[in-house]
Amino acid sequence: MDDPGEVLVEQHRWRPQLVWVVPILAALVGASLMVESWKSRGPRVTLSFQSAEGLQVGKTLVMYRSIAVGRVIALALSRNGDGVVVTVDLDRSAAGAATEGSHFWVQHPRLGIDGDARVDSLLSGAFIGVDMANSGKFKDTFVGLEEPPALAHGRAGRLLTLHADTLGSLLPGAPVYFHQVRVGRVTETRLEDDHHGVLIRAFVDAPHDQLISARSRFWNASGINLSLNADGLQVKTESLTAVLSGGIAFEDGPSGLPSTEDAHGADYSLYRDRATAFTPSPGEPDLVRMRFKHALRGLNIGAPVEMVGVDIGHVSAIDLEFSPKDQSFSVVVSALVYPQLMGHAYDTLAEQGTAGSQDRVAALVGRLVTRGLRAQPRMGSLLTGQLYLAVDFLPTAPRVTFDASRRPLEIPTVESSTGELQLRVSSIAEKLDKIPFADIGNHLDGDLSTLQTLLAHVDHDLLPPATATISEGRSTLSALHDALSSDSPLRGSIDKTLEDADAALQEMRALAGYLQRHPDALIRGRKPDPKDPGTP
Amino acid sequence: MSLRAAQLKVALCHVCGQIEDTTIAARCGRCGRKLRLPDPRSSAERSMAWLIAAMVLYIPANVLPVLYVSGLGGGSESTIFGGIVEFLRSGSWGLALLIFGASVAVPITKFVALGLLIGMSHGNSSAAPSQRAKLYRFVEFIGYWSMLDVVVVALTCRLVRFGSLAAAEPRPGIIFFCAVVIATMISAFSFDQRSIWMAGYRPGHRHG
Repeated sequence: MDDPGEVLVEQHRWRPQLVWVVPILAALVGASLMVESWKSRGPRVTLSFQSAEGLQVGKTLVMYRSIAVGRVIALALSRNGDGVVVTVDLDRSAAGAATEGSHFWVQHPRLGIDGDARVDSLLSGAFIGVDMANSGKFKDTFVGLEEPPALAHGRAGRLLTLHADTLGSLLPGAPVYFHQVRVGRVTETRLEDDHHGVLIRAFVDAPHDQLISARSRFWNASGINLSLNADGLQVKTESLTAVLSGGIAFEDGPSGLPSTEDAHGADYSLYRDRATAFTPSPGEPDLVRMRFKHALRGLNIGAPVEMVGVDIGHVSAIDLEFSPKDQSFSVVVSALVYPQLMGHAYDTLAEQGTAGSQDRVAALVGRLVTRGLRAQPRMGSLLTGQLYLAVDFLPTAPRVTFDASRRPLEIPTVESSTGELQLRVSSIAEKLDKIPFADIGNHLDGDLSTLQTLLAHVDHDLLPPATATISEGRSTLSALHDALSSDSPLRGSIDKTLEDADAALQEMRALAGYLQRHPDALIRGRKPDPKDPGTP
Repeated sequence: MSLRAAQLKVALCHVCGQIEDTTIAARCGRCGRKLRLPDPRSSAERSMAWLIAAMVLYIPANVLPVLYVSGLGGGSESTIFGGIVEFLRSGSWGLALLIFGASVAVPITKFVALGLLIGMSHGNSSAAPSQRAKLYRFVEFIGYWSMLDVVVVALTCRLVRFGSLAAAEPRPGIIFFCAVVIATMISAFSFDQRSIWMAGYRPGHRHG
């Protein structure tokens, strides 16, 4: 206050004002956001596809395990115009997708029946699927797959290679079943490299891949298995899906079955059906021949050869032979016989050292022929007349000489058993013939005409009087009814009579009472008693 | 040069309107409020600080998405500028223009105008004071329209609610945009109009 002109109101001295905190804070927040978004930005990759169908810039997402990990930012034609180039920005978390070995594909909406339906994509449209390789080797240009890969990287499980003669109805994506539980799927089907047969790759997911062993048997579970047997009609399917889209099933074979796995440990045979899969491998067949002197109608190529009822092979050829010596034809049937199908019998024979050597086998067959071993065509089915060949012991068969040196082995034959059957059937037919069906018919006809005249007689002669009798009876009954009605004179007289009888009975009762008290009255007569009524 | 209150060594109480002689009183004799002399430099500085904050916040407001619209099966986020481009492409020129005006033209005009006003006041410029005053009133006028975007987003999010069919959600960008608008408003309020007319005047200088 030394200067009276001095302004007392406080003057602002310049000092850093607190308000500067505001822009600094704003800058910090902005900078942190920028850093964050820069950090979360992943690699940019370009993918080439045949077509950009369903892809939209800024909208189409890149999905990995159903999580969006990127977005399409540009679509362009490839340089020579034979495809499209899709530029995709990936998230930082999906940096592993931009490495060698990753796969990209366009997942179009689809409706499947095998549980892989993408209903959500029907609404959201297509997206780009990615399978991250995480191989560490950076790569930013990829050729996209046209089909989604069946397998994702790093998926635990086991890839199998199956070999089959035909594909059946198998498609990639078809299920693999273990005891009808879905455990995997078919990933690839193609022709074998040598064009003989089909190669099928299937992936079995962990932990079910542990179920696959050297004993596993795979079969085609497509379609419906209908069988008609003694138990009735049986329908077998793995599942409805398998019926429609095909499928593979596998199970452990019995321990006795030889392994079908090859040295690599991943190749298996794919059998036609379950029954085939569990049939032991028949091993190497032997060719045998049988010569028949009579016609073998109904024996087809492929007809079974049964030894004591066990299927051991099938007919491979049927031929006709002419023998100039006795000017006769004979049917020569060649059959493939699988000795290993004899099971334990084969093992026993093998132990004795018989199997393997052709000569020893021939010697054994010779011994068996002397004991009655013969081949005989038999009727397999009365309905169709199919024949099969039975190799059986027939001790009554005529003796034959067996040429053990002949190759292939020739098993002696006997007449078809169908001949006997035919004889029996014809004898039954003869007996049926003897029944005089015509006479029986004539007699029946006569009896029927007699019955007819009898009925006509009844109709004409008996019915009219019977009708008259019935009407008379009816009038009699009505008269009786009138007579008994309450106001008829008969009824009145009956009532009167009954009343009189009642009075008489009362008098009788009085008399009886009197006599009881005075039995002497019977002899002496009635005493004079003024109270008693007089006795008759 | 016209006469100023400070030259007469009097000051107006901001609270009750009492005029006090600044040579004898530091406080209002009626309401006891501390008296203040106009201080163009410090008001310009405060205004500048808010303006810079607004400009800084304007960057994330444009970079970050402001709205997320989900339709059947999928959704997309859009930034302010992306939205304008989308409207332009779909032919909605009017809407594009409106949004461009509210979210790009208005804020940038405010930045430029306020920056100019603050800079000139800070530099004690005496050029074209009446035009600067007009400019300031213009800034205040267009300020009313700054919140248009925020209102659009808020309305959209409330109205578009059809469960999984369609839904709209706000995204962080709109918060930054809101902050930009608020910061420019504070910046404009902090600016002391009187400083336009105080060229050559230094508070604390002795006049007399």
